[in-house]
Amino acid sequence: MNITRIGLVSLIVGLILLLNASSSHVSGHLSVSYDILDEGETQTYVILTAPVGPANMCIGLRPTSPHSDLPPGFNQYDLTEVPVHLKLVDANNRTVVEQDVITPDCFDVNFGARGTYTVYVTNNGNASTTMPLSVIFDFHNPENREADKYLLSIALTALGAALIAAGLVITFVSKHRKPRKQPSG
Amino acid sequence: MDLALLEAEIRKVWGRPIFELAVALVFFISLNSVQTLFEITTFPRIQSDLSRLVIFSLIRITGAQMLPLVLLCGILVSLSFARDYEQGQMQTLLSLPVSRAAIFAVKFVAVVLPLTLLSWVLTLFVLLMNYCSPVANSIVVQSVSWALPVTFLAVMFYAGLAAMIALALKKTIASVLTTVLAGFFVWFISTLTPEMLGSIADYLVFTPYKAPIMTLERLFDVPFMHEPGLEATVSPAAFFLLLIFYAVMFLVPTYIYFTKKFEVKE
Repeated sequence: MNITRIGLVSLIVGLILLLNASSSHVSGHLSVSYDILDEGETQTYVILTAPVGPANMCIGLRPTSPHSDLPPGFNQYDLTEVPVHLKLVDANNRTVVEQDVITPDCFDVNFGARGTYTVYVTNNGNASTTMPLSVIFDFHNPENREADKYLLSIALTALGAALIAAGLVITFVSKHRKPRKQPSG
Repeated sequence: MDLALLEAEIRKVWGRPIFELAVALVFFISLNSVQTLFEITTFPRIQSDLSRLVIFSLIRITGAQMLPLVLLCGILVSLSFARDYEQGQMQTLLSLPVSRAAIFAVKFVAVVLPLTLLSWVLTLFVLLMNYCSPVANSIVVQSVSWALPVTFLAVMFYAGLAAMIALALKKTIASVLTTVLAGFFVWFISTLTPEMLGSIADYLVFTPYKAPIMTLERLFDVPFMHEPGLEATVSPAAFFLLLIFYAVMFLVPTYIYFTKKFEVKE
């Protein structure tokens, strides 16, 4: 396989990836609730994510119908206005948010790196409650595209274009190179 | 197998723009079948949730790739056998000091092996790119390694069918069209629902189009999305045996015909 063909394949892969990575593939509302959190207990959530950019994170936000099994306020453990201590650690192990809040509480978060984001929620109230964690994305916001895939697509496209150009130059030069004079005699 | 002959055949079959088109088609389909990584879980469940995501994406990619692989494989095998016959190159090949079995193997391997590897490499690339993390990389490599034999056997089935059609019809356009129609027919059968077919629909999991996907699902013990049918009673090993049966079903008679009976008319 010559250099022009490798370049063409790289260009094709890069352009298809660019087409896919230029738009957002995460939108809407994702809410998760695991165990019931007793007084003084800490719940840990792990968010496995691609670098999908800005989002709104909510703690203690009750899911609305039709997603919830029961109407709001029906479950004795679905409490609001619970004082909690909240800590968010990003994929680079840096603490992004650490504060005492009253549920439900929403704040902005930026998923800037691929990896694991960890959310620690400690129930500082005086009753057991569920503690749902929600992440809300804008509807098809271009800022929510996957940053690393986008960069990779640009790199592959540029590499492909460079290889094609190099291949064409090599072909052109080799075709137009003057043949060496053979020594006479 | 004659390696020089194989190299020449691969160059001929995968010449520009076939390889580029195949890469574009398979990559586009794989990329659109993968699910973006965004999952809320807990520490004890990271491994299992990641495995579930990766396997779900792998099965979706394999399922989505099946139709383009079938069509590509059918077209390339038909071109390889029927075009050589039409252009008189088959006569030259048969006059070489190489056995007919070697010629058949070269023509078959030159299509099936690169196509399987292309599908596998692009699946691995898409999954690694999508789930790239120290935890997920080993899961991706382990699960994708199972897709290699499954895709290989599925592609072999259609290659055998295409070779049989090409050797029977001996005309390039006619054999390409017939192979594409046969591929679409097998795909169409697998899209029929129990409302259309009744209880016979339970057996659709054993069709050549559905069997590779069911093999992966049973292998990774994917929970059933709806009421399980016959597939729940069949082990992954049995599905593998079924795939091997499909792979040799057309291959063996076509091989025997090519090595014993096939003649090139002057």
